Amino acid sequence: MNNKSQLLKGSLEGCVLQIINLKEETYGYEIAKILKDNGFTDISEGTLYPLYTRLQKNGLIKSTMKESNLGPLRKYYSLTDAGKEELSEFCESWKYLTEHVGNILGGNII
Amino acid sequence: MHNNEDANLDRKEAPIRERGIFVEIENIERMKHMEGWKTMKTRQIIKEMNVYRENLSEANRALFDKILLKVRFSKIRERDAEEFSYYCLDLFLQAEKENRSVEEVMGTNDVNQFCDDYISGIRENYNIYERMYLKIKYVPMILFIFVGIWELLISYMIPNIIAGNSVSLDTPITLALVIEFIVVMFITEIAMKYAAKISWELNHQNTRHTQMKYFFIIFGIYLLFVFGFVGIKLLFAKIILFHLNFVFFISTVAMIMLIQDYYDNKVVKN
Repeated sequence: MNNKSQLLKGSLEGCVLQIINLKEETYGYEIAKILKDNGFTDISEGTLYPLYTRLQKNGLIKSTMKESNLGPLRKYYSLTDAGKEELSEFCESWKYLTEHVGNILGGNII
Repeated sequence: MHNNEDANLDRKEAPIRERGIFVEIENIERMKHMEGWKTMKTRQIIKEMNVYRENLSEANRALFDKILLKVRFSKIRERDAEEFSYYCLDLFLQAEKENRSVEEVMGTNDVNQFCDDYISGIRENYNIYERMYLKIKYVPMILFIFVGIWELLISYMIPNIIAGNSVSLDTPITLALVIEFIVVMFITEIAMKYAAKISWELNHQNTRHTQMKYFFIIFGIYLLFVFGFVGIKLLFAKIILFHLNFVFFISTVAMIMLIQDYYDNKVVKN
């Protein structure tokens, strides 16, 4: 796996939380589509589904079953309060990381 | 408020029409707008999958079956396997509706890799005890069926009762039985590795060649079993290691299997 894929994978959880936050309520297929359209071209649903399960188990997202016109019930995810806190912390960490890494990579070192 | 009773899914005989037209399902009573999977039992998920998979194209149905069999025979909880398969079914139906390939939707052309990604990902969510348990989850079933029912009840107690011998509930556990149990465990482990592949081939590539191939393999294994077990019994059946109360043994193992069933189908809390 190259550096780009590894870096993207490290931020996957935060990105998924933010997508759910922006959409307020969404489902797996839609989350995957948004990720693929925004740089996560290598991501597989086999990687994403356990992530949703883990986020749910950790109380960061919750699910609701709704009928779809295709037949099987569909699981819709939304953020919990703990999920919103986690997302906020992730955004702060990401801002800190990108600022400092950006400085170093830009040659702007002390 | 939600009704906590299981929804009934009665599938009446309905003709499977051309691809793209849904199988008609009569008398469906389902929960609408359920939270989590709280009221949807695993067997209901399986029932619905059996119905809705008929709406897939033949090629996609074959692919879906590959995923279904692979995750079902992997070392993960039954509930996790069925939930993921149900989710994949929705993905496949969505892909067909949007005229996209399922490989594009899955994010890979490699079905095995797709399943392996899921299996390794979901196992990361398990703690060490869960992982250890899943490695040996077939042991209680083998103890119940092979040791309890086959060896102790059918091969020992019933023949003695028929012969008019006095039979105690304290059944002898011989060296032969222990060796046979170990052999059965080993064979089960190997069978689980190939069961998905064999099952899929017999369903989707059911040519004469495939049938003959597996007939000879299974017949060969059966003969090995028979001769092997006869040999083990001749050599070691008289060496009694200890005695075990049959009722205590069967009821303990049955209770373990009930607890297993509960754990395997436990729903992830929201």
